[in-house]
Amino acid sequence: MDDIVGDKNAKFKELYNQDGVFLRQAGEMYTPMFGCTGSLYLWEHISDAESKPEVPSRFLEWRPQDFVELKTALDEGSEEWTLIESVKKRCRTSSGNMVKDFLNSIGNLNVCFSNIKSLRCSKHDVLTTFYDGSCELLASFVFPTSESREHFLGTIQAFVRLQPTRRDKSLFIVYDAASPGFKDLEKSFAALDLKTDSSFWSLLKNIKSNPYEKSMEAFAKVTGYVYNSVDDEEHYMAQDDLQRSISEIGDDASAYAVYDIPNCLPMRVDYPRCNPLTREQWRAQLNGEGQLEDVESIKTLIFRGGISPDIRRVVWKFLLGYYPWDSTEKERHALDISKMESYYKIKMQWTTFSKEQEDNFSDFSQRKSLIEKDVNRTDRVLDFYAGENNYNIFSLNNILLTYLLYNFDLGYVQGMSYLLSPIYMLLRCEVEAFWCFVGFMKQVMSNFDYDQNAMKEQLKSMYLLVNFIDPQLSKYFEDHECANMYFCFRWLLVWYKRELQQDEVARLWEVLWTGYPCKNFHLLIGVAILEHERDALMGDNNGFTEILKFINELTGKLDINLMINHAEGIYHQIKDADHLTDAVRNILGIPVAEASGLQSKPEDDRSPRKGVSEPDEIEFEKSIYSNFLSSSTGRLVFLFRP
Amino acid sequence: MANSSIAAVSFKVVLLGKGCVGKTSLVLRYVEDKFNGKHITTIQASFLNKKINIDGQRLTLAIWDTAGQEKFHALGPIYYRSANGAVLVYDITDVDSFQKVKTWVKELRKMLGRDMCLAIVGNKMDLEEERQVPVEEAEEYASKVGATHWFTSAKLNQGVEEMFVGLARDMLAKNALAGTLSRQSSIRRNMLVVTDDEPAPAKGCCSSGA
Repeated sequence: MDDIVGDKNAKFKELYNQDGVFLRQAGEMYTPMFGCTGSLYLWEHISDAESKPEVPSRFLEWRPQDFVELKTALDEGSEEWTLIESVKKRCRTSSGNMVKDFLNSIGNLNVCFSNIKSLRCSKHDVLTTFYDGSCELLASFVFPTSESREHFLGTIQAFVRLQPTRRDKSLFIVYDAASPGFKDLEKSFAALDLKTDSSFWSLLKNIKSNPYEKSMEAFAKVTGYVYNSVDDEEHYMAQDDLQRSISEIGDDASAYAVYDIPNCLPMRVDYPRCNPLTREQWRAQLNGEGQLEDVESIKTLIFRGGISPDIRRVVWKFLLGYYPWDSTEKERHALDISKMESYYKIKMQWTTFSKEQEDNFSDFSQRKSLIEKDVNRTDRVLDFYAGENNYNIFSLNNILLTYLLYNFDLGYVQGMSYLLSPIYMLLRCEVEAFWCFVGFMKQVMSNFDYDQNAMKEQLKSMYLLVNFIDPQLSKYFEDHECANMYFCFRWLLVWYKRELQQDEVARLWEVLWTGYPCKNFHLLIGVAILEHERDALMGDNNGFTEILKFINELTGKLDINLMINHAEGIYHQIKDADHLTDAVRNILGIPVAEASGLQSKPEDDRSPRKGVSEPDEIEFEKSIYSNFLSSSTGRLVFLFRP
Repeated sequence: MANSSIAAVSFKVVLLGKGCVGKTSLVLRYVEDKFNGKHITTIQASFLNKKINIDGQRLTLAIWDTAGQEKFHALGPIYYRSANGAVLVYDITDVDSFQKVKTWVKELRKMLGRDMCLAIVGNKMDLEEERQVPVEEAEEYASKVGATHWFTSAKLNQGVEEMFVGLARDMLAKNALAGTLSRQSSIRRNMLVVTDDEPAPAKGCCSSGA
């Protein structure tokens, strides 16, 4: 299938040609072309000897139009920045060089028509997906208009018959015209001889011209009509034929059960990571007032590749709310001053406590001693925080004590020092680090609530996501008393800080702070890790103890860029899944409209699937409680249901 | 009852106590014979195995080290459930940490009854001159609640091994009495309450099995 057209172009007849067809997905080797538009062709091979009775082979070809333009642009030596701009909409995940290399190494996308065993026609949009005989996706296209798709479907029906499956009416089995099933179908239609009846005609015409519509329904109507037309004897006879052909189709459809893929996730698409945001890119976005022109594209760049270390100091202050995104240079200058003033005002509140005052304020002095103990145990292996009487440890202590006064209700909780450490290490300024820490804490404060409800909620969401992505793994957790997911506690409490090196933490956090591509993306990072380690997790009949131990020992072994990359792929799989549930949608904040069209279609009968795909929350709750104690659960519950 | 003492047994031990009293240091000293005054805060929990042989009885201690802070108290049950023994650690220079031990004792007795062996440990005995928790008070409390009491210094490696071995002996004795030596004793039965306040007599039975 590498080069079906090649030089032999002359021997092929063009059956169909459509420009502006968007390639959504195909085999892995075509990844850089995903999201590009191009021309779709349908070619038919013209046999050398016309007398040969064999069916001529046909194939689909898709030529990436953008890529031709892009390649030209590349060859002309455009700057990288221009390139990113021009690629952004179509395939924003690819870096320029990758595209170029790719273009040199691979031709167009070709799919042998005989390999297509089924196709899915989404009713809402014009997305059309082709599958082979083992449920593997061959290619997925978005046609420019519904007319162009209808024209395409009309064309292919010259030599194939499309038969909707019983359970999923947007999925069609592709029958070759030469197959016996197809001939039977033809015969029974012929036997009906319904040309005199206009309503029948329109029905049949519908089936022929709009086969992706619910043809089975049409069949039902045909049957109904035949049964009801009592005064036409011929119809009685035809009725038998019709019934037979329907039952044959039915049998055939069940033989093709493999095509019915109720809870199949869309194929994982690779979203390669890009280069970090550079100083030049950042500067290019600042106008005369020092105001950022296009915040969204800056955030996108940060999400895609993180921030180059030399400008992290500036950009983190935006990400953590120290500076508003739309602030001008002048406003930022004023903010620097006012933030400094207010920091020292709060700091003074505790620095001026007398010994006596402190002794009489046990809530404060207890927390103070806890902070002291903790900063002495925070990242001391890093040079920056190492050694006796390290000034940086002293600063961590100051910032945390000031934060204690700033948010006394929350108090100090173990873990906070780890959230502060990377921020202070980067900014090296108490005032800035304090306010950036405040910004970060706003996002994760509930992690440190006394009742731990926010943590439990996240662990539960994590379970639901795993259940959606990898039901086998979630089942394993359930069967091994780990469905409470407590082994992920540390990940979520301090955003993987304890699993990663300081520079990796910085990269992960800045990506997460963009808030892209969805709510709670940090959970998907965890899902990506679990999925990546699934075999080890499920090996040796591991229980909670072994899993916790395994997870603890992942520290220092994670490839965080790869995990971000996987997490993004998972996000898109979830978002585009046909069986996306509200529970999962809510976790990630995916609006209904953005979700795959099939799901929201009211007439879509999804009820048989629901029971399978809805994650069992009751089971999850049960497992949480049962995990605490086998004999005296009743008494324990109060701890978790205050 | 003692005839099955050759079979290796495994006990689950959980370390509980206020933040920064030295739980992790005790485990690291015992299992790896290491000490680092500037180790990292335990968030969540960690887990280490120690294989020992007491009077010919091979046993594995599965030791769970937990996060100490009050806010993580709610996580306790996950770790102490089905534990055979608990090491309740306080810092002899910190009165409050001893109060926290009392809270844990209360919770464990309430949740798990008296099946669990308890060892109350006053750590940081190298800081004797800064002692805030009186020896008599601590020992008296321990005997009152049916726990053993130990003084340790993870830093100087004093009393650490003795404490863990002592706890292991208690757990073996309790296990032997329960007649469940050949099995993991994670199943708790109320009828075993008989052994409540006298864990000592069983010791002999176990050592003779060697």
